[in-house]
Amino acid sequence: MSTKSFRDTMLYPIVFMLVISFVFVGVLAVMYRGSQAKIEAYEKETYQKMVLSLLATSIGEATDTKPFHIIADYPNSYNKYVKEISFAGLDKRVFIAEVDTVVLGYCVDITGKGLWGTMRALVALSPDFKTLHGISIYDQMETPGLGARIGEEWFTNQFNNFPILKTDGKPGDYVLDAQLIPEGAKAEQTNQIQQITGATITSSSVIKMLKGEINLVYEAYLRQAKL
Amino acid sequence: MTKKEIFRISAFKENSVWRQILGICSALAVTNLMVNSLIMGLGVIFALALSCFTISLLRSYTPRSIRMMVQTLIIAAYVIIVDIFLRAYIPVVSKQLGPYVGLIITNCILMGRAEAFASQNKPLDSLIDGLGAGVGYTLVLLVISFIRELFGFGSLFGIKVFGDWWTNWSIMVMAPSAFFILAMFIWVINVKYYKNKA
Repeated sequence: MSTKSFRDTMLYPIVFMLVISFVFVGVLAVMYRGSQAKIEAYEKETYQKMVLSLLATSIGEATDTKPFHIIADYPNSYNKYVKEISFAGLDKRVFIAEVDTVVLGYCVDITGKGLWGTMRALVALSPDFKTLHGISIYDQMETPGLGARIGEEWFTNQFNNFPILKTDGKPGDYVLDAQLIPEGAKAEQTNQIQQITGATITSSSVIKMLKGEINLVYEAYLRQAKL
Repeated sequence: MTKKEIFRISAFKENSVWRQILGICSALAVTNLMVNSLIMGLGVIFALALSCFTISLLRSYTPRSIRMMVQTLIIAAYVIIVDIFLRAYIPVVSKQLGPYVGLIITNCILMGRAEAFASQNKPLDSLIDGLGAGVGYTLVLLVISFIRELFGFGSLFGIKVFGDWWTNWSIMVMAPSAFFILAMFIWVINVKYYKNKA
């Protein structure tokens, strides 16, 4: 059978497609394998650095070091002070910062619904869970320039040392209701948070996420403490 | 046609965006920051030029009945290469572009050039045609993002241009502004470059 006649058969397109698929998929597989370790290492590092920087202030106070020295000392400082733990019945990543077995704070990975998609954030909490030490929203699909500004420091900094628990909390309702005020307005009460102009839904989504998720975390923490 | 002419035609005279109105979706989606536009443009140039080259190399072996499948496969492979590269080496940009890099596959310009040019011309000519179309596309993206970033964020390539007195125009960071700017841009091109009557 000459090549010419084979190319006229029905089989030729199938064989051609198979061969070309194998070649291209093979090339891609090799490329992906080659960079997979790099991608995963980078993702892990960014994540751990974020946990560390959220807990850095507490660690710094306990060890009498400046927070940025602790962050610069990654990964040593991370391995030394931060540990991943789990709360029974809570399907979230929880990190704990400890110096000489004294708990300095917790860091929890929380998720919530934004305007366009899921938001993921890390929050740092005091050892008694009463105070929010900081929040870092690391994954969101909000509108760039509007909702996406929840990633900006002036917004997230409002949650530093934010009293998150109610003084008269009941099961299912432990978390303080934050109050949104216009951007640029001065907070008169500790529970007031400036929202982002033009991104009302996103701003309240952050508050809603905090309320719902920290409630769950705190309940799990209480259960754990009882055990 | 000389190589220079091929480039000139595909980049300017028959520009994919302003002349053929292709690739509009991404022109609206990734033009809020100049950096994003530039990286997206480079990604398209790379994927477009190399896939045109490969499609042209294989054109005499490719059975006509499955040529589009083959073209899509080749385009997809190059786009995934770009995606993996960005994720491994420029993760910050990769995060910002989000799903749009993967969506280069569905960019009509790539399929358009593959069908219109690469499947009938020599590999080197196709490479140049792909480069030209990619450059033309990037050019439009940069023009739109220049205006959008300047007025929407008061900055260019992330560097503050306007001082604190500047109030950002929210409309500029949202997709509708790209519609208006693109339309006006095409209008200007039609009048000034093609000398059409407005």
